[in-house]
Amino acid sequence: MLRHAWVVLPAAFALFFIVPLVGLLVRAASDGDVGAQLRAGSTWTALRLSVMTATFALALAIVLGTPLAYALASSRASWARLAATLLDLPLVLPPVVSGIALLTVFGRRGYLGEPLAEAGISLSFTTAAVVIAQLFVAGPYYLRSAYAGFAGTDPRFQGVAYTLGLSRWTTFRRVTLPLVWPSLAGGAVLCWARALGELGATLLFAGSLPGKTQTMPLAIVTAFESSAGLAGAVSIAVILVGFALLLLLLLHRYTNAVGPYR
Amino acid sequence: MTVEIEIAGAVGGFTYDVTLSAGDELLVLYGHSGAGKTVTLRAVAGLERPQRGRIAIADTVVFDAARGIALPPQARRAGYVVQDAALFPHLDVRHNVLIGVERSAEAQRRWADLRALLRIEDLDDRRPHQLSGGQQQRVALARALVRPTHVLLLDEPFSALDEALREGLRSELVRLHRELALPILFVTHDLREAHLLADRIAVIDGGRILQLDTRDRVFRRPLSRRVAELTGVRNLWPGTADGRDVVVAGLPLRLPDDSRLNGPVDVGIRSERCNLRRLHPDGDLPENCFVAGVVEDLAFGNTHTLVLEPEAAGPRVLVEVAARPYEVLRVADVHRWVVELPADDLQIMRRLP
Amino acid sequence: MTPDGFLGRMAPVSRRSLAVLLLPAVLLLTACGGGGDRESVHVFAASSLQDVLPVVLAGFERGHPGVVLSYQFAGSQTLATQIEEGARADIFISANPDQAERLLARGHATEAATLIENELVIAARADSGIASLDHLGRPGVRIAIGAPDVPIGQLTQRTLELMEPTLTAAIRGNVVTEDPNVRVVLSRVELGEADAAFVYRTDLAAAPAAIAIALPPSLHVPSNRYVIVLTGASSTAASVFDYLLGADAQQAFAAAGFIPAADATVTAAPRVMGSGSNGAR
Repeated sequence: MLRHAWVVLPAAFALFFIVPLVGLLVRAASDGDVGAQLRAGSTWTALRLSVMTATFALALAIVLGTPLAYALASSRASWARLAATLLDLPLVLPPVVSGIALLTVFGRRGYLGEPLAEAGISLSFTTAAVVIAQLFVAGPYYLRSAYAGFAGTDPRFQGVAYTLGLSRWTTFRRVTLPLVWPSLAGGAVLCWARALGELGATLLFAGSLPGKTQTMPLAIVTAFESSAGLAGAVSIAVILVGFALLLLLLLHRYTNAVGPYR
Repeated sequence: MTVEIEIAGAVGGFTYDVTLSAGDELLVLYGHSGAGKTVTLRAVAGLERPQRGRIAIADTVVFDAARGIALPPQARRAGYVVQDAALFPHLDVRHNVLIGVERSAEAQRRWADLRALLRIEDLDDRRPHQLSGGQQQRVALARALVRPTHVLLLDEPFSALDEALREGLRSELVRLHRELALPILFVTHDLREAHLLADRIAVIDGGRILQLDTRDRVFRRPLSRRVAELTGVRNLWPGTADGRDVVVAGLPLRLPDDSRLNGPVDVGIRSERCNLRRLHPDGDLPENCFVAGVVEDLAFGNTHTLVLEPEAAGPRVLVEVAARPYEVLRVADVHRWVVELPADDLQIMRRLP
Repeated sequence: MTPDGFLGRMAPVSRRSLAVLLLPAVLLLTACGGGGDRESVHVFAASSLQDVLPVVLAGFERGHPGVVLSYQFAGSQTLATQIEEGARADIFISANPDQAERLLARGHATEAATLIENELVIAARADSGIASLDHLGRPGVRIAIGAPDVPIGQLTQRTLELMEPTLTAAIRGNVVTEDPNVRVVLSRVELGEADAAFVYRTDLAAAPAAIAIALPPSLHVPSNRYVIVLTGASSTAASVFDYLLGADAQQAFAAAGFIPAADATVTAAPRVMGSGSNGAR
């Protein structure tokens, strides 16, 4: 018995994460009205928007982030390591500050926003702005994980593949990518989950308009500040958590199925 | 087919300047780790770019710094097998070997041959982690050889294996070499392995080739004290030579017939080449003999290494005696011996400043 | 509490308040409980009072040197929830009567009274070219309002309904965001992302980049009432309660742009609160 006594601490740590979630559920069941929120069209509108934008942000993170992480991890230059460090910084920023930072670039008076506005393109208060905010806040999770994956693969595999006549692209596709797959998949889950929960930067940069920019977290905060109060906020939160759990479970099965090892 | 290498460069703080060429032979690059063996192979494979020089594989120039030629690894037809095989962990044996050439009938045919030749017939569906070290190395060899290969580069392929496996693989490599007719550059830091496999040996140290010669000449006629040290010569003394004669620690010695050096030299002899003779109090000492007393007796399983101090003129000498003669001569009970340093086994090398 | 609950007290962006933004400030530790004979009074107040309340209560502190006041500012809803969850508060000033009624009804408070009233105005950037209510209906104008369910949004919606229908429709068509609280609404104008916003007059004090455009009296909706609630049992807490309803404090509030309780649109006490609580204790 005593041999397994060490398990107590890790188990307590796991409960530290699980119990508050259960508490949320209990709270929603006692005070809130999850059923009413489920029947409300506004909840589904926000959920649909959240899933759509978070998925799109993740897609951008993968398409743009994978080559970037690969390039940084492959480079021996010292600036590459510096750049990789800089790209971690958005993780430190409170999301509201990230929102302000985004406005300085893409806002109506921002470096890019102002010329764009003159061309008739406005980003703030659009669904695109939601995606940009989520990408800025959640993208580094994918980048960091992908970078660690690429940096951690034995470079000899690449070298051997080249001597076997495999082109750089074939090597990347058939050797490097399967090797870093777990890192990429893990980073993608982190990125998506973080994007789904993103609030501060979205609120500041994209605003909050149902059907257009009001994602689930914004709906939750709005409910919290309204007469629905805590009960309303918790009810919507439970729906978000439940839906995220469902998707993560599906994703988990899927990544295991397609896996790195064919 | 041939490979010609004449390269120089620097990696980190390490500089190298290597010149060697090989025909259809098994050429061993022998040296300690950090001597520049791996960088040479990587340069041939195209994974390392030297600052200067030229590399030709099968008469095709694959690298020429002066002319700005540097073919990518994919275009060099150099089969490269690294220390622990580096099989792709996510692919089974068949996919590891045939990656990129799945649709080539020629590769399929070679794969069929190599499976038999390397005795890896029943492993097609195994993953690398399900293979023994020896099997992994064979698969790595097959992977390098299923595609058209003009030179085979083996970087310490057996060093991670236990001795029994190495013996088997070495003999297979020798057999493979006879069938393939292509240059094999084999890197090792294992003296026994170098001796067993090599047609010729290139002794490499500090990024430079110290000696490139047939195996026997490298072992019997090292060009320098450093080569002698690297090839395991344990008796090395300074001396002064005059044609076929040399004086070591006051003791005149006869040298092999072909000796022609004069002046300051290093004289060496392998410890297993020294002879011990019983001492006859009345007899004269023959040529190249001196009286010495045992000061240390170290047992190494089936051999003994004795350290003997001369009683008059002569060097302190290490003598290796096999277990059987050790017992027959009752070496353990006798203190004083006549040590003979046979003239034909003496190595003489110009002393380098 | 959500980790982003601090949005409830998000201040407009200025040098001073940027520092506030950086504080992870859901639960300000009101830990300055003082030692020995000093008595502390915990004041919870709607975030719109963040600037004015300490100024008003400075008079009280001068008269009561032994009393230490500590403040926690957040959305009224947040604070009411915290009190219900057991947070220690002696005085709670809510930006609307609902929370006060709830606390009274559930026995968390003993007394309540109307404290002051605020006024809805249009905040506009000086460089936006907006000078009157009618300008808000122009095509392309970007307007920020509160979400329909939060207090500032409810007030805005009721005000909009009093306008001429075509103007109401035009303004609603120009709305780009419906924010969870008034500070966020105002920040849109400050950051230049919106041209105009509907906010409380008093909020504009903290936003020098914005100008206030008053609404015509016909659009005045009598609802934005601050209610003071006595949640503590001590006599000191009661004297803070009385001081805030007294003449000195009411004048100080008026100087900051609030309408004193005496001039408020609705002078009667909130429904559930019994009568005569207007300072006459």
